[in-house]
Amino acid sequence: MTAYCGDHVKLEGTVTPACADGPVTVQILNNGSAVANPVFAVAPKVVGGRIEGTWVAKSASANWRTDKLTFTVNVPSAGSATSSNEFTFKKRPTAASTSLNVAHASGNGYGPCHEKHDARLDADKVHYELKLRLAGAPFAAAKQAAAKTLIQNVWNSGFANKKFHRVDCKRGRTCDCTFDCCKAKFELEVNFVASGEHLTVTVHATAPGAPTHRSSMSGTGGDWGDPAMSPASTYAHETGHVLGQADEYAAGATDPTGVQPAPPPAGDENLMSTPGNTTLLIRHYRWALAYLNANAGGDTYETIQP
Amino acid sequence: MRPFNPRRRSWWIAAYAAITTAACSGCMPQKSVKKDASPPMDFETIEYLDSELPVAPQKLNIDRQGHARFESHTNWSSLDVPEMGVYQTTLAETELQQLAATLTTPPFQSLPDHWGKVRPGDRTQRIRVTTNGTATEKLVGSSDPIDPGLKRVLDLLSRVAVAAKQQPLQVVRLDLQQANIGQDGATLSLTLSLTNIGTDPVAVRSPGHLVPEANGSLSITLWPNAPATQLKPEDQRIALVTSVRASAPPATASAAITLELAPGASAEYIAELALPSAAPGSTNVRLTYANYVERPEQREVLVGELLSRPTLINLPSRR
Repeated sequence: MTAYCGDHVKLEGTVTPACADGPVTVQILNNGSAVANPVFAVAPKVVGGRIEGTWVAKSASANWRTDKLTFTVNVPSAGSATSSNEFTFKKRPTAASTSLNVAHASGNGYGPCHEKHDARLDADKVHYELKLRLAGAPFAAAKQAAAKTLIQNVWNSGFANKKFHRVDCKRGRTCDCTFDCCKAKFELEVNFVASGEHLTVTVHATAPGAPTHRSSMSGTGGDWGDPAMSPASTYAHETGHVLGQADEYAAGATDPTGVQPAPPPAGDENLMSTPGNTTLLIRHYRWALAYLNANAGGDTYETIQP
Repeated sequence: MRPFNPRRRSWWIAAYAAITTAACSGCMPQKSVKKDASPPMDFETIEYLDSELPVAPQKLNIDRQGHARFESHTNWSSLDVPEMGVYQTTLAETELQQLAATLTTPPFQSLPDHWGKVRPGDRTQRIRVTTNGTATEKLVGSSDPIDPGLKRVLDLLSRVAVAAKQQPLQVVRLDLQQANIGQDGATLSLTLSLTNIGTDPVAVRSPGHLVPEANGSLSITLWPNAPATQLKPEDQRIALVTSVRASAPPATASAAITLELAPGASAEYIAELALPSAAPGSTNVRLTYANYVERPEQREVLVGELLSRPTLINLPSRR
């Protein structure tokens, strides 16, 4: 039998001849080794010769995709026996890379923000790739590497304390499972390319000491000031606009749905609201979550921040 | 509500000159204004916003009584004037009429703009005119051509804003007074001051509360003292101030969150940081004061980025 990590798994057995009713001891065995501290939603017991219990399925190793689990029941008055069948964990589907181009309306008269990038669902994560072609002023390889690292670090570090997690996982949002079975990660990869780009970014160099050129990005293209107005955050902020993110400052390309408040409440300042701030919140990964849910075979995920 | 302090000054000279120039160049023929059968627009308020600093646009607000209030949040476009804050003046009746006429011919409502086409992040100018309780809003970005009629309104409002800046109400000026390299050649010490050059008290986030960086910062920019044509973007270095202490007046607490400045009052600070690696020789240093928090505590403070005038240091060759 198979089920997702976090599902309820019903354990059943029969005692022949029937024994006295009462609690029984159950061990979960992962490839023959006992799993420490299994959690039961319904404590195993024997009633009228039938053993029943409900285990909250939980992966016991990083090899959960191939692990085989059995259970051994010990009935005090009748001895012990091991299950005749095996349990394996159901795997989340994967999805090949697809190119997204989804517009999200903006407030304040701005044009839309876009999700314009490739997306694929790997076994353990949602993977985004954004391909940028550069035009305009020279932007040397070292600068490209620095920009790539900056953008990736901001968006990937922003998710490091979060997980996509199965809504139906019976351990709930405080799930302590440490593997990628009931949880999925997020990764953004940025590459500068000569062709096949999602958008072209025109670089505008300004001499030191002069007012720097404004940076902007959307599905139709981008402009990067070199140097950036706020070196720690500008390119990552603008990249947010092609990951479907709105501005979170009142005069910007705000989110008319209100999911991204502008401005955010005090203490929630973030990459999309405040120069120099690289914090990212659960809401900034909602489109990645939507992509996951559209490809997870009907099993629904939410974003948690343990 | 604080009573309005009318200052009917001569911003009109600048605005009139602008209008006259426009008329002379054929952009706004005054005769056509006079000949137009439509009565001048009877606006209630005009708001003009320029997103020079994305998170806090420069904002000019004019009401039908002629009260003009300009809120400046940065000096990015006027680096030689290191000040930001609130300016206030009052327009004369003739000036108001001229504004109304500019909005009437051609009709402001009919002017084409870039609504729905401006890329997120782009610098924008926005005009919102309220008449009989109904607001008409126009938005332009920096990429597409601007309709000449709308450009004329934008230019006029821009000039009104510049003229309003002659009347500082709650305005802070940043001065980088000294920059000294430590004897070890590795540290930079800066003396900076914040001065209220307005007529009303003003509150700002204390420099001490911007170090370490938290929704605001104190930072320096270094670049070689050479003609701009000889410089590349990568010649520039940016570094965060790592410590700051109040030096004058002595009672100014370094750890205070808010700095209150009475009109004419000034507070001085010593800021220090490790000198970033840069080419030796004569080098410009600019200090940037940035605060993005409107209420770090109960008191509302100025939000924006203020860039000092640069000063020169001589970077040693071996550090």
